[in-house]
Amino acid sequence: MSADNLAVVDQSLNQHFSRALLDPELSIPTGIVGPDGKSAPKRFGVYRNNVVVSLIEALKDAYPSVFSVLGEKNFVPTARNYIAAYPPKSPMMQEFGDKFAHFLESFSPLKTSPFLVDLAKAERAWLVAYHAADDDIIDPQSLGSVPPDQVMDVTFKKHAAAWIQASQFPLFALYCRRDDDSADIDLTQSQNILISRPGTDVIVRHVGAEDCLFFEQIFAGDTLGIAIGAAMEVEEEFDAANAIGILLQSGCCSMLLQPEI
Amino acid sequence: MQTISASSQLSQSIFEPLPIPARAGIGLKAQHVAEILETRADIGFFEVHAENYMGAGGLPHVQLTEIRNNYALSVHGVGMSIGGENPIDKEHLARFKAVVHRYEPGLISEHLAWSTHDDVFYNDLLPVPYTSETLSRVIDHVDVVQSALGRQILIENPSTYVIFEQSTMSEVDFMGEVAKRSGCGLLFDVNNVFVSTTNHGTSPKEYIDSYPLNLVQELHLGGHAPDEDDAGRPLLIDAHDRKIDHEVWELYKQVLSKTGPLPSLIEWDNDVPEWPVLAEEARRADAILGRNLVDGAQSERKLSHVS
Repeated sequence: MSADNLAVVDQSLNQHFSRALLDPELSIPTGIVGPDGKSAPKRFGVYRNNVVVSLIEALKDAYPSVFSVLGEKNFVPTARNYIAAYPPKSPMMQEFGDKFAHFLESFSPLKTSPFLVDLAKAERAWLVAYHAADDDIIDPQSLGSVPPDQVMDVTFKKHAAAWIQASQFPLFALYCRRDDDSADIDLTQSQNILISRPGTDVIVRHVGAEDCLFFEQIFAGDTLGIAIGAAMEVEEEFDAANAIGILLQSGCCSMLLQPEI
Repeated sequence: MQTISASSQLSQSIFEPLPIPARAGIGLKAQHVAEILETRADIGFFEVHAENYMGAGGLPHVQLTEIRNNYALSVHGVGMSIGGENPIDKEHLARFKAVVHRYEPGLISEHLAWSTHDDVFYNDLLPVPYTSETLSRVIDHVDVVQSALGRQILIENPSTYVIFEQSTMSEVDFMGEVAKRSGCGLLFDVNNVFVSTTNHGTSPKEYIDSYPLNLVQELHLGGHAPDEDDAGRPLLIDAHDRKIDHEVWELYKQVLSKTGPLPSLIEWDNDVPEWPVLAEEARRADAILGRNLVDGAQSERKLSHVS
């Protein structure tokens, strides 16, 4: 047999091996045996188990609040379906699970729990913030040095770790399930969250609807004046000073940009 | 949606090279870092999985920088898929190189295994058949990695649960050929030898006696879980979830009697215990290493810990 033919045999073996890992219905590749030379499905099963169990555990680690809400009984089959639909594409396991929220949107067994989609997005944002680049953090005093007539025209550069998320569900309470699963959650509430990482710790804040809109505008690159105006349209009593305080002190922005004159 | 991007820019490393001493080391876990630093734990070196430090910033890099400021560091890859059919993933190699460049590890290692096929990463160390074709491919892949890093890497012998009928050479001969023809060094996992030889009904002593131990620069020790195969024969799982087995300690002594002291890593990756349990395993390895020291290696060993 030529080297080329051997390579073809080898290729089909490894192709079969990898397919059989994620599909327990497939027979194990030929030529895989135990010490007696006989086919060894249970031995091959160790690899199947290693792969699937390690990926389920990785998904649990990435989505501890979703896991807490669903419990082991519901999380494991959900994870198995996710793994089949979106197996990892990178050896960086922190990337694995990046489509979980998208998957949950159309996963019919959980369609009566749409809040899980928002929760999965928030947990993903937490992980992204944890690993985000060490951008600069703006000096909380920086706005004070801007000439008063230009203050409303400044814009900000969002920090790599920062994330704002509006939700019609009690997102902050749901997120907190990772640390405390005993609290009752009123699913009719609406809560929004702001995530930032001023140092190494990721901070998750509960923010009101008008604050949420303010940060959405700021992160989109709108001026301070436009962001305040947008928030006031939602709530006339919008506390701009408080929102600006969070903006300057939470570490959610890496740069203050003054208008060019 | 945001994505997690790896740092790909190679800035100048802030660390001077620091060789790994012939002492016990421990696989680093994030939950132990504060206690290690606070107690100034007397550990020969730490080893990390490269893939856990490929994020752009944040706590992992702050922790590892502190560890590297105080200890020798070894970087161990688990996702290069050296034994895979696909070419080495250039993006992953660039990320790996960035980790190596940033932390200047004393040793760099990877596995004789595959983990990626087409574009799927299986998150496990999968076995390769021992044929001349696989051998050529592995040698090529090691060469690609060593060329990119500009450094020698060590390749670790696998723990395996199955045998490939198409294999035409022994694992020992395969490892020796990989090292001889690629110029890589070897990482000898003593637990893997016990797991694989038990699983395949062969002798660990004979495996060790025939292994090219002169090429080994680091040892691994870890715990395994007992199970049974299809016919009720013992099947050991390389679980890294418990203390090192008595028989593995005995094999470790056998290896050291042939090699002299070598950097020896305690691996514990699942059901990770409190720090003192790991430190005790390291003390046990250090005690065995001390008995195998030869000619002045003792004083060298003491000096090699940076505090």
